[in-house]
Amino acid sequence: MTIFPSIGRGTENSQPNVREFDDPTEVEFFENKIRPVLVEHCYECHSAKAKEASGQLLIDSQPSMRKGGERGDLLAGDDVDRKLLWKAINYKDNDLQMPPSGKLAQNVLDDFRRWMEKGAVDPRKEPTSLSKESGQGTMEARTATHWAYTAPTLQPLPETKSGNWQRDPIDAYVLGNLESIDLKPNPEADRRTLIKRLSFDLLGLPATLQEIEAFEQDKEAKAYERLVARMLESPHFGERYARYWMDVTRYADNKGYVFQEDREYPHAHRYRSWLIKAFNRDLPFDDFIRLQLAADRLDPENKSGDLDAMGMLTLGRRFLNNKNDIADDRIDVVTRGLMAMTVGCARCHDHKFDPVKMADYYSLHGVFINSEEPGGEPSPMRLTDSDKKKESYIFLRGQQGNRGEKIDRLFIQFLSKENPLPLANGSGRMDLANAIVAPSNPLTARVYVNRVWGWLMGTPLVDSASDFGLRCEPPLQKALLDRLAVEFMEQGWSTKRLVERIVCSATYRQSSNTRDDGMAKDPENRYWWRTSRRRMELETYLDAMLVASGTLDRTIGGPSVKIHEAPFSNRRTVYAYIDRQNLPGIFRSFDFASPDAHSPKRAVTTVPQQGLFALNSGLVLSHAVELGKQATSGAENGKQETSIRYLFEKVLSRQPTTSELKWASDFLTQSGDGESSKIPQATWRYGYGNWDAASKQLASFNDLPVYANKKWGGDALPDPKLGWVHLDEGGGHPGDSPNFAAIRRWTAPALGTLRIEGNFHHPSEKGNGVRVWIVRNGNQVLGEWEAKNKKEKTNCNAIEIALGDTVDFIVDCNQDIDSDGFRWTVQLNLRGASTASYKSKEHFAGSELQRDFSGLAQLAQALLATNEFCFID
Amino acid sequence: MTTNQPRTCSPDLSRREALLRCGMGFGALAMHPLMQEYAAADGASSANPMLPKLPHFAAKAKHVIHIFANGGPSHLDTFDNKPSLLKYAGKPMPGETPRTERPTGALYPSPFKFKRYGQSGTEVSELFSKLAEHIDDICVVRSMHADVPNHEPSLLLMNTGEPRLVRPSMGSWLTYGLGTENQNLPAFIAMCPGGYPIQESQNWQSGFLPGIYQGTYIDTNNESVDKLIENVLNPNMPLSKQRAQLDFIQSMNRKHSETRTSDPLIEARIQSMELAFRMQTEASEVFDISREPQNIRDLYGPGVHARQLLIARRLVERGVRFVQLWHGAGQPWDNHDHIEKEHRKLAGQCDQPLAALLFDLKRLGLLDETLILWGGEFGRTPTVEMPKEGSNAGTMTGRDHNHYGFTVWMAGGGVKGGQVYGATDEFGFKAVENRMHVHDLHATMLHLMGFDHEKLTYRWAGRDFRLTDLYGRVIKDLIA
Repeated sequence: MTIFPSIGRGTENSQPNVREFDDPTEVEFFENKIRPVLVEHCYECHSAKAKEASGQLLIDSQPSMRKGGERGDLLAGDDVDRKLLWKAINYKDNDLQMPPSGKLAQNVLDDFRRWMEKGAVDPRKEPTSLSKESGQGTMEARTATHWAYTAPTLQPLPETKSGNWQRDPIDAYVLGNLESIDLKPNPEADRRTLIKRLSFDLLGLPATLQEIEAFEQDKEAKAYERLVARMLESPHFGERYARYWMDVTRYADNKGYVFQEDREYPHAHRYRSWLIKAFNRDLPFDDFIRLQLAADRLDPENKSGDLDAMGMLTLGRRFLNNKNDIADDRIDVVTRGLMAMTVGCARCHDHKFDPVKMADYYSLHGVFINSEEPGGEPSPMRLTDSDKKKESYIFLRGQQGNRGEKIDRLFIQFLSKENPLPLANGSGRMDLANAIVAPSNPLTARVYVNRVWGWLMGTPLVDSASDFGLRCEPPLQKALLDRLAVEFMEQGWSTKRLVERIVCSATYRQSSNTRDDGMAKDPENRYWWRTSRRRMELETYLDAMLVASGTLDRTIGGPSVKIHEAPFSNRRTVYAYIDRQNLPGIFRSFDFASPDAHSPKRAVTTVPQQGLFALNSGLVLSHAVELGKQATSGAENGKQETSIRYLFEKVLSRQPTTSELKWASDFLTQSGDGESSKIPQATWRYGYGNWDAASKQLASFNDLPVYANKKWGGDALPDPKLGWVHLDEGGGHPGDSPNFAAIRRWTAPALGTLRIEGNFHHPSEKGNGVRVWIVRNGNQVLGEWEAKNKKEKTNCNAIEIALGDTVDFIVDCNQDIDSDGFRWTVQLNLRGASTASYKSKEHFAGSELQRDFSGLAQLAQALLATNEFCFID
Repeated sequence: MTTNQPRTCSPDLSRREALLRCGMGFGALAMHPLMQEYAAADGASSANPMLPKLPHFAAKAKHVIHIFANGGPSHLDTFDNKPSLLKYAGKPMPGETPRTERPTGALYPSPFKFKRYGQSGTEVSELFSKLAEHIDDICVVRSMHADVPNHEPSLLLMNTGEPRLVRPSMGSWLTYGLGTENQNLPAFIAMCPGGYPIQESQNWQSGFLPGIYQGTYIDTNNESVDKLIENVLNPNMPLSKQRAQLDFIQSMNRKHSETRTSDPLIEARIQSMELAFRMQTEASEVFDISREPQNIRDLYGPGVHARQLLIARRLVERGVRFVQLWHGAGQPWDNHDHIEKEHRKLAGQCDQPLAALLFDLKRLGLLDETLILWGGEFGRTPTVEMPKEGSNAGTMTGRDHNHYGFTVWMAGGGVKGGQVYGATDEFGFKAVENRMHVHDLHATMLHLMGFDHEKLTYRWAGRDFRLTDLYGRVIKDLIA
């Protein structure tokens, strides 16, 4: 006997009455008028065969329709107008309108109304259920056998043909796979390549020429291993790995949009410093996680300084302080970041593809809702368990106002099937941390070693590094992944030992050269027949420029700095202030991880904005200018080749080849450090000094140190040391003694005949006026004048000058500083191999960059823009 | 599109197929810079995510200009005339008491006169009398509705389809799906004079899509190009010198790649340096409206809105995919007070240039391939906002937020112009007829651009996400 409802007699909550058979007329009506509409308009989303059942509702059988979805029985109620199904298709309720593609035709609605009025006869008696998935077994069955949900074990090493290549079990697995497709590994890379690669991977900094040469000459047996050991002891290791981890934990220095509330996380950098120290002291990874989730239990007084670790949880976006969204962000960081589980999908419904239930989500939600941020010291980033325990409920469809059943807070249930693991101690955060790092958890160690492999090798073993769910196929190198995971745990969860074994493997040491057979059989290098070449990411790229220009500040830890704003910082990029609300263009152009959510891996794009940065940005120019200055002053007797060699050494850590020397020298000739003109701005300098009018000797010349308010001058005006001396595009002011004469200096970029024309004006009637000279090479007066409240032409006779000669335009205060502002514009016409004009006003250098952007600086910039600088073999 | 590798004209294709699939004949090969990329970058194209891609099906619209009247322009004073407001002026709204964000009082008739325009006879207020001359090209949607009466979530909803969480904006989705036609310019540009709207760059964010799909922000109060686009000019070096410098770089790069064959990233970077060099010229040129003839500049009129609308035309003309224009920093159209004066001022700033934009695009034959959307994040109440200390100037001269019903208009890009779609109730409070949610607007716009909104997806955090989340209907009536 089939059980089915009749209508018109029951009430909404009563059991339906029962009839013994369906009226054949009504069955026919259903088959002709109703079923086709259901099939056409509803089954796509509401049938067992649908990919996802919307609203947890099935309507492909009569029992399922009566069971209903989240809102219950579709046909409950006496009156057709009160039935959920009618409300949905009638399109009068703004929150419930089905089908979503548009209201059904009126005649179809009339059929449905008639059908319901006549008892909603429905012969589809076989109940269907959501858990069946066609062809692939139930979710339960697949969960039981899914590779990532089963504990990793040590697989025997494969038999391989070539026996002497391997250095680590890693290599045996790799070689086994390679031999299966008949490929050989690449030979070991040369020493120079290896140290550059290691330095990039372990420290995030380029190897200098001296370091490379020392390693090339190190003939000891274990030179490579000792190099690795030295680098692992460098404090820069922690900076490199902290930054990787900050991608995992979506680090930022502010909260995102929070209306008028203070947006800053002023203490965020303390989390970063904690990470750096943790990696440097090789804090075991399980403790590393425990402290980031529950340092309030482990170091409540902050005696070990571990409370800052909780920045992992508390430095997320604030979503206008919506506490459920904040909890959601924390659930996501913890589950995707640490276990590669997409638990966030279960906020509104059970996970569609993975065995994660809403109860799992709301257990974790309960953990975070029962944690609060007390603010202030000992760490403003810490969480503590709330005093008053809040019960945990499921929110139906993820909506706060839509409370479902009350739940016990338990760890992800399918991972602890036999022994449900309560998250009950206080907020349950400590329990959660322990469950995540329990050796029996099949995910955590695998997920982490997979990330570390990806950081070192360019591609992780499991490509979806933050989703090991049922849709994630077992990786090609599963045996390798599992061995790394098992031995990582056995070796005390040591990150440094893990990194060490990977970089000491033969697999890692291969050259990155491509071979035809490899490219034919495995172009994506999934079998590791070579090491993948990598382009430097934002941080290593900017840091490498700091090293090249010799300006790197190696202080470990400290507050965040706005690295993209001038004057540019000398700090490593790991210390960059991260504005998650308005992330500056440089971060976006260079594929920086979005600081809004956990990031599984960075994109690698090649876009012209990166090129524009290399060609035009003030940051790159500042390094180029610095290198240009060094190359100029380091050159013996002004020998161009010495300067070129200097730049190659600093930027590319090697000497130029003969052809490169020629290219560079040709370029310098074109750009002006040779015989033709420099860019005109670079011929001018702005300084002060002591002009001894009696002996006609320039005793000193110093650059005015600061450019501000369109003037070169001191820190202030008047400056405590320099007084009033300053120069702007059209004139200036001398200082208050002969030691502080204002001196505009021009340096000849080429030899030739020079004519000077100018107009001088001292406007004030007050004081005693100023004295004015034009002086060549500090001792040859080309002209002199005195001016008070009058204009002077400052023209000179033509002279022959040599490359590098200086012409100084000197103004002193004539022993009385009163009202000595002056205007003075000059034009220098140089006729040599070519003719050029140099104008004090038009070619005024409004920044140090402009003044110092010499040909050598341009060459340095070019080297910084080469592929060789940007790629790691 | 179901994988995270948006389709490009893949290196596997022959040149001929690539050209055909990208909608160009052989004749274009010699001159079109895009094709030079294809020609040069065999094997490297996958590294540039911005190369043009085909949508799911053929579509007229290739570009979008989204004019965002931020703050919530009043539909009742612009495109949705309600004579009943006059009839019941000063009286409470009959029937339900409207639930509004702030207290509102009696019905408040529009101070502006409405008139019928064009063959369609659509009513438009005097605020947009010049734009209204083009009403037969315009589809006015009077039945829009959103979720809540607050700026922040409604802005995010309109731009990203999600009111709270971090999701990619429509411009990011479209550049992800389509790439862009001009590699010398950013694919997605967001212009706002004087600063950011509220929610700032989240309005044009790329969310979980790669950062390169984020809108490039431009403060159109600046007139010089080096202030408009980051790093677009080298202040210390003329282009001829820079060319010599780039030649040196490329000599070094060619030598470097001799021993590093078959590496698409290396090759791609060589190409992108050339793109960067060309972008300097092209970007400088496109933002310089003094290159337009005087009669065209006069057509748009004076002021920053005229300038940014003219720039928008120049951008789509050069193949930029998505241009978003904001009225100004903050929320200029949010007139809780003095709506007559303020709306008159705001509309006065953009009526003429909006009309000029439609005329100009049509003149150039670009209107068919350019989808224009005008609107705010919501509308305003038919009832007057009550004086309240702190939140407004204490007068009764404005309207509160209204997400239950508001108006947007669309034109070009395959939209069926000369029609009004949907309606609000008698007082203009709620959308009642042919209601169109923001998700439906998105679904329809994606359709006009050639996408099935359910299939333009990106897998992130375990799910295939899309602009319309779980919602959205394509409103066929809007499509020509």
